[in-house]
Amino acid sequence: MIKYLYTLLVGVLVLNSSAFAAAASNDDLEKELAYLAAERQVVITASKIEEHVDKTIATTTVITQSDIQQIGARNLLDVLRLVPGIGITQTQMGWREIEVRGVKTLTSEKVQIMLNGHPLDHNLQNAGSGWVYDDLPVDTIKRVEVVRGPSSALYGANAFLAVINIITQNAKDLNGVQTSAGWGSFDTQQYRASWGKQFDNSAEAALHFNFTDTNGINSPIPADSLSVQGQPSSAPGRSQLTEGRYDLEWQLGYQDFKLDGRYINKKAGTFFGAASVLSDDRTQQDYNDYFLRLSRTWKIQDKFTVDTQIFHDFYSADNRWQLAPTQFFRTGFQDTRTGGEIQANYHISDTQTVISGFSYAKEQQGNLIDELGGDPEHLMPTLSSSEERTRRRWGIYIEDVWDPLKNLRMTLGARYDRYSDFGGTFNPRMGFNWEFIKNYSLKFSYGTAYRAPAFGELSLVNNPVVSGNPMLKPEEVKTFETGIIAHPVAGLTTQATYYHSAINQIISPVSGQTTILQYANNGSLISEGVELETRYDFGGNLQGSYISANHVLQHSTQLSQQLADVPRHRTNLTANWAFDNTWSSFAHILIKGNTLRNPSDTRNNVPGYALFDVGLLGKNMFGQKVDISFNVYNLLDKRYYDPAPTSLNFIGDYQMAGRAFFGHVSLKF
Amino acid sequence: MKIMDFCKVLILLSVFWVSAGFALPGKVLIVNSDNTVFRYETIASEFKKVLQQNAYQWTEFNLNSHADAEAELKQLIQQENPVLIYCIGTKAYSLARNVASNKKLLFSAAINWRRLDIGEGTYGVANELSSAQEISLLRYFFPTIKTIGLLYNDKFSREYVETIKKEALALGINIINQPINDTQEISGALNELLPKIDMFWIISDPVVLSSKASVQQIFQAAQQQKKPVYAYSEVFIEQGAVLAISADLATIGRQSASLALMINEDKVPEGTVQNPAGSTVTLNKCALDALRFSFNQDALDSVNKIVECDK
Amino acid sequence: MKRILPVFFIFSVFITGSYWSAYSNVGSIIYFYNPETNINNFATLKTAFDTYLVNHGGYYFQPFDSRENFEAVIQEKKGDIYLLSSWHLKALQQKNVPLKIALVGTSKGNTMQRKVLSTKKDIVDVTMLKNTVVAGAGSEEYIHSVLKQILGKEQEALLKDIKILLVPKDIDAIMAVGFGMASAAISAESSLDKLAMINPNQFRELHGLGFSEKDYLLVAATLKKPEQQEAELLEVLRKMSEADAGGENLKLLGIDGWRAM
Repeated sequence: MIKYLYTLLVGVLVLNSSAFAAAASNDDLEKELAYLAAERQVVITASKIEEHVDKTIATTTVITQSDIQQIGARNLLDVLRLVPGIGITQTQMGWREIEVRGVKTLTSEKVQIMLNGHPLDHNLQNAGSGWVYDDLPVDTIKRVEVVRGPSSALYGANAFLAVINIITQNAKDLNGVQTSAGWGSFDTQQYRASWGKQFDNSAEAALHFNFTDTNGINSPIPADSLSVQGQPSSAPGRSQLTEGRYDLEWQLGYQDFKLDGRYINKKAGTFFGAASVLSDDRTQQDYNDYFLRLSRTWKIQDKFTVDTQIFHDFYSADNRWQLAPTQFFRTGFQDTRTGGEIQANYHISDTQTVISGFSYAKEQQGNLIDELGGDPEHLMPTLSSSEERTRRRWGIYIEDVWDPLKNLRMTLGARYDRYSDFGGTFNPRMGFNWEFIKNYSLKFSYGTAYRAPAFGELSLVNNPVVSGNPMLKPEEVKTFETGIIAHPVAGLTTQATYYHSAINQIISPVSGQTTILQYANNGSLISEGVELETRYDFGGNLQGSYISANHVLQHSTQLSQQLADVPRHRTNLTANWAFDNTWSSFAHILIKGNTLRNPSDTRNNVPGYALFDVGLLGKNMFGQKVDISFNVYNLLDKRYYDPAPTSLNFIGDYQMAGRAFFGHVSLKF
Repeated sequence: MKIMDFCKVLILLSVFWVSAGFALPGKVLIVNSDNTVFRYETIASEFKKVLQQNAYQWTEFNLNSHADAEAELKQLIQQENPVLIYCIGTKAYSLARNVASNKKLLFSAAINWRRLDIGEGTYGVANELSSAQEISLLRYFFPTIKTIGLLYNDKFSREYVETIKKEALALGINIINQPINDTQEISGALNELLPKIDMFWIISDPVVLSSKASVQQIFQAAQQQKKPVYAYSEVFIEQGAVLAISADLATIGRQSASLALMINEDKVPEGTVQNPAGSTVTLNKCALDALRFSFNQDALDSVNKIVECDK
Repeated sequence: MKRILPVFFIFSVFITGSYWSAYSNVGSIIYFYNPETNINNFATLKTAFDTYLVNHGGYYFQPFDSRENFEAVIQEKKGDIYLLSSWHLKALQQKNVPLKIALVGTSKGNTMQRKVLSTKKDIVDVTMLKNTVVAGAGSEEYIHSVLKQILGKEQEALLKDIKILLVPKDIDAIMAVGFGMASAAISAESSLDKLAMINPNQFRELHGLGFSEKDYLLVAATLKKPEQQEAELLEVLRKMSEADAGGENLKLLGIDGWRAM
């Protein structure tokens, strides 16, 4: 009997699973079908391997949406000024200069800004992409990637010293309606509305609308070239940099097709003016800019995809400048760029990917406006200073990203571009990233880049001061950089980079024959420096808190002279403290070294300064729907100056904003 | 450039690096697509067993029991700051990838993982056995099979089917694959496919296997044309499959756990996705007899279960 | 509870019906436990062996998936036949359990087998297994002990740096090496032959890095000198390979016959 009972018990043990399972196998089929149904819910398109920032050969800084929120950024400039190697300064015209690695020019034409990978250097007359994008609203931005160093081998013209790629929220990120509003000092107001939806039939749509308006910082301008001679002028007065802008961005997708673009209208006054005379509020800058891009990815094979796109870019300027109290000059033009690109991505193996592509574009300038007169409302046509012009360009490129070892990535790339007006240019790029010890990587890269001469530089006419030069060749830069990136402990990232750039054939005005000055490929410049960055993200209860610091030592020389108007060092210290899941506070200190003058400039150096910004952010309040932030810029009301060029030496320098406030609310539905 | 400045800062930095301490071992966050789904839950429970044996802590998050799963998951990740997120099922993985792309992710039970958006901090255990393993075992049982046919949906299974074709060819078996977009196409596709093949293979394609009706349709058609059906799961044995070689769910759970431990010790190369190491073999002798289809008797020691006809 | 109720229901139908009558006149039982496999095919084993044994003298077969339960039966009982691995037998003998081998399983004429630690050919030394995964079928304790034996005294320290991945079958373990889920596998030598047959490419990539000592395949043991009933059952068992159905059953255990000791 005991034997029986025991067997009975064992029988239960054995049969527990098997007999039950056999009896219920129909049920098992149901279970499996339920599993398959659960898996069916998720459709995934396009699988692309993103390159990890640590593994690229380029020196890259990524600023995420949550960083932007914590900074309390009012526009793109507030984001960029935290990036190591980048400095932001005011120009006399109004727009801001983006200094990169110790090189700064009036139109920042050596920096390429891109929106979702599309280049924004739409101003063909004067080059550069900062015209309407410098103060881009940030509420719709998902991520900003700043790649310092030359990238022409991939992106072609003008990816010279840095590429700033702005990635905006797509339908998936939005998934509903998001609105936000911000108010702050200088009568600043910002509004934003976005909507995004993914439909069942693989269609998706995202729309963003932004509106911004500000009266500007009203800096005191003590003198101008007239007032110093005792003649009537607006000086002493204040800067009139009012700015108003609205824009609409769209991203529409259906199956593998995507149609995206952005339209921007920007109207602005000016900071000082276009001449050496302080402008009153009658200087008006009016810009329209859009691009439209239709793209499609073709998946030929699992390992072989082809990206194709056609695009149309448009840029128009219609600006009225006050040259003297009763003299106004209106200048305008329209630029378009229409073209297409085809890029093949071949994933040779798990360790090697080759991309190669061809691009073509036609650039045109027309609808020129040139008027002059004493009454700003009734100006008379005058000789045109710019030219109607057409340029065709094509380029081919190839890049190979290869991991010969698990801890070694090598990148080799080259691009050849040919322009109808100045010929061809070849730009290679190569480098490696070697993780020599776990969490410690060594980077090395060498590359060249070029900046195509702008239409204005090639064909400026009827300007008494400076004339264009149709014989110009592109500017060139050769850069090599090396650095170490390390994660000694979880949460800690440190990076040290040394770079050396030699810029040759710089396009700059030199003494001319018919005019005082004429553009020429003249001179070279050496820029070298060290960028140190470190960031520690706290974990556990302090999740969301971080401290970070970056410090840059830079040295740019031309003809053995330290370059004017750029500092030798710059430091950013930031701390973000998350009190709980809702509240966090942010503090930022920017320390900038003093900047030298040109040898001919007798003014004292522009003194360095330290600015202190603080902010408070409340996230996911009221059922995860509301975020509120309040920031104080320049908390200690430090009076500081951006350098005015030697030509404006009589005004001293540009006094920048004192303490400023900014409050921001955003809502998700 | 003052070289001394550079050196000073480098020295400072090196001190910072060297003096840094050790990170504390952290928690694992288990995100389950739906804990009422048997496959997901079995894997989860085996995974937890191994974590427990190794004195690891974990937190579980079941997507099916949260209304606003995305926001809540985001918050949980912030709160718990896990060292690793274990995602069971495609839904869990996609969501975690969206809200925590900077965290290490380990996935399993995701159909055809090659279609997933895989980043560099991602690891996984595939849902399907290595097709080479499956085909090797299949051939062990049925050495005479030369041509096998299968139905699939391009959106869900393309990459997997491509691998099957390649591996099969290397082992001397020809795969004829027929894509379908909808279950309505099953009947037509089978009529075309079945006459050309020695055996029909049911793969885990969620479009082909969207309902019981479509499962029945497959077996009826195969029976009419007297073609044996091989399936990826033993649940199809009852329907008449002659052989099922399935990934052992418990092994997937154990294997994930073993990967999780090694990831935490930084001993696994990033991007590693393993196939399940364990197989469960079910042989339906009843169905084989009915088809008068013979099999290699030596293969019996690899069988987990033999199904005989009810007497 | 949800799960227990239907089990009891099924149980009452299956067992109280047909089994009651059988066990009311219960013959000797063969108890089976094998730590060298994870195959979890108990239901199939039980059905197959019971069908055969009931028709050959009214005997029964009882497989176990838990070592404790199996050993508890041995402690409890003083009769019957136990099918177990020779490794397990030795372990029990060391604990002074007086088990004696009556029959030894054979496979293709061999009664002995050894376990192989196989790896891909780029692993040339056991020290290279530090911080890797070794796959094996069976209980963790068993795999551990085989590994220990293969590594020997000098390399025993390596054990703590090796992770063991338990898989259901030998072939899974070897294939896990081929497909990169593990760096090494513990398996029977015969399982490698099987791999050579079903996936020759993979077989060529592997080599044996170490071998255990030779040991018997599955053994049938008794606790005391078999009484008549046990002796009869042993004879039934020994002759199983002579009948088709019996031979098939033995193959489920990974052997093809028995040899008397």
